Amino acid sequence: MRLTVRGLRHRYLRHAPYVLKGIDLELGEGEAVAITGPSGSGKTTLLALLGGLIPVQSGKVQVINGDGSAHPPSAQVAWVLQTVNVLSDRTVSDNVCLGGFSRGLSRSDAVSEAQRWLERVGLADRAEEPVRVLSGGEIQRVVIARALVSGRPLLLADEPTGQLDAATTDSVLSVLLDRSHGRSVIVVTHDPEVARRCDRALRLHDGVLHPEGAGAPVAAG
Amino acid sequence: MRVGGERDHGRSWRTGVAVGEGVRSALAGRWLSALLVLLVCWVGASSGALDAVTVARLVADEQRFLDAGGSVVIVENHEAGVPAAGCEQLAHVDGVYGSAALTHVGEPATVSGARGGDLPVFAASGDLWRLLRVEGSDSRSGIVSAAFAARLGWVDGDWVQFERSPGTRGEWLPTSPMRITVADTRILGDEYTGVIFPAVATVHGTADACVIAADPARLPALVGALPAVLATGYGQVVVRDRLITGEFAADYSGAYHERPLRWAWAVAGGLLGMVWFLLRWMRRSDDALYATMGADAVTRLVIRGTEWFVVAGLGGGWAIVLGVVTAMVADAPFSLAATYVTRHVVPAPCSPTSRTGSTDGSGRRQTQGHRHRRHAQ
Repeated sequence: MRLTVRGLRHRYLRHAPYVLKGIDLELGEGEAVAITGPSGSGKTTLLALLGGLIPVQSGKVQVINGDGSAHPPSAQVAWVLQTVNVLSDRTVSDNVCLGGFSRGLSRSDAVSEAQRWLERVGLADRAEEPVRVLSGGEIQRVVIARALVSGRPLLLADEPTGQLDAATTDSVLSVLLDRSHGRSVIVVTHDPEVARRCDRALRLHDGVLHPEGAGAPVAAG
Repeated sequence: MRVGGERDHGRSWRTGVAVGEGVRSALAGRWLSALLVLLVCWVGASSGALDAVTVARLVADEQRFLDAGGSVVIVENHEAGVPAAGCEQLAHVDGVYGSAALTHVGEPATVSGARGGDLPVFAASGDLWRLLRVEGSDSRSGIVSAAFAARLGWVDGDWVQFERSPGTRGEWLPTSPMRITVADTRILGDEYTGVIFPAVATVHGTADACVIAADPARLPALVGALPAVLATGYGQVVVRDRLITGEFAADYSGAYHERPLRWAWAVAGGLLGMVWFLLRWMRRSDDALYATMGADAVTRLVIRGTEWFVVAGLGGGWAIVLGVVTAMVADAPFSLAATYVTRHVVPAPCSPTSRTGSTDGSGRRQTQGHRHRRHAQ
């Protein structure tokens, strides 16, 4: 999978200035990119455009699969958000199964997949507990497991560790940026530590992406 | 990566998975789902029970009206009398529950040892049994009202030997003992208080009056035809309602069709719908999550529809039980309570009007179709 972004421009009102003034981005398979920038610089807007949550006004966003076929991004991305985005009354397993359902899996197959990924994120023994009894970091790991079960090749994460302490942040990043799951990841973050653990870090400033220098390689697991 | 059962075409949810998700969502809702079940139960049961009780009271009122002779007409011809044979044949006309020719014998009878002295005696055609809805016809029976029997100290099944009153010929009197049948004779009116002997021949084939009980819906047409059917060639045939005053003559059919509670199910449905949409709005983040997880609008509709079906099904089931029991406690019969509570809890697409025993547009209609059957028994 390869994400290609060309000349992406966006503004919220017709006569307002552009928030994004021409974004170009290439993301390879399994690559993790951090996008940083000051508040209001358009990081979340960029993420929403990449994920197809808001329509592209100008420019092009494509996900190109290994066979060369190009797809709109909406069906190719899975989300990991800062705010809790789970069915709080349901069990951990039920929440992770949603990712499998999005692939058209039956319930039994989705449960198997969920269990497999919950083991990867260290929550297998809590699969039948309600999500509401989990801590913030555990819930984020549930969300990441759900995104991985969905099989979608691109994970878009918006401040995934914004409300977590340092230790919990580390455990969440270990899962999210684990290269062994094979997904590409774009992380919007204010946290230099998150940016450091990605393959690349880009700074969004004045509507344009600027390289901040390559991040340190991240060890698997 | 692909696992067993993964779909190659598209990425939409399986319908069965969406249904299962709805069921799980309803069950996981715990207190909220329980609250909704209670709400559905309370709203459905109360509207259904109230309507059932209202209808039951209308039915009871109408039944009293009918028992008192509300759908009975009396045909008389003071000059020539009414042909008894023609009167009896009316019983075979569609819509006529029963007809009987009645004649005041004119000579009283006595019973030795009985209180009250001379007893008025009436002769009637054999169809009187059917008209009075009394089981079994017995040519050796004399029919009396309950009040008349009580006055004489008779009970149903007594055997009585009638005797000629002094100064009378007594040619009408049966010579052998007669079995007393106590029956509700209110539909005949007070004019026929006495001992009535069915199947006794009438004078010259004519009777004083012909009493006809008929389907209220067909009564107006029947009343129009009776003067010609029971004409004897001279004298004026008079057809009159058994109930002269309008004491009971309410428009039960109109009251049934215009009762406000008839539409209570729609109000209840609207209320439940608003509650449901309010809850959905409060939990819209769940729908957004389903959307990001590839559930399209149809899939989300299946999930929410199933969730509602589970909650409404549980609440509706309890509503039927509670509504029927409540209505029965308020004296509504079971079948009526079950019918009307169900109609409120499970609103049918067709209007209640089309499901009721409506007849024609005349002012005198019966509220319920089952009353026709009861009369015909």
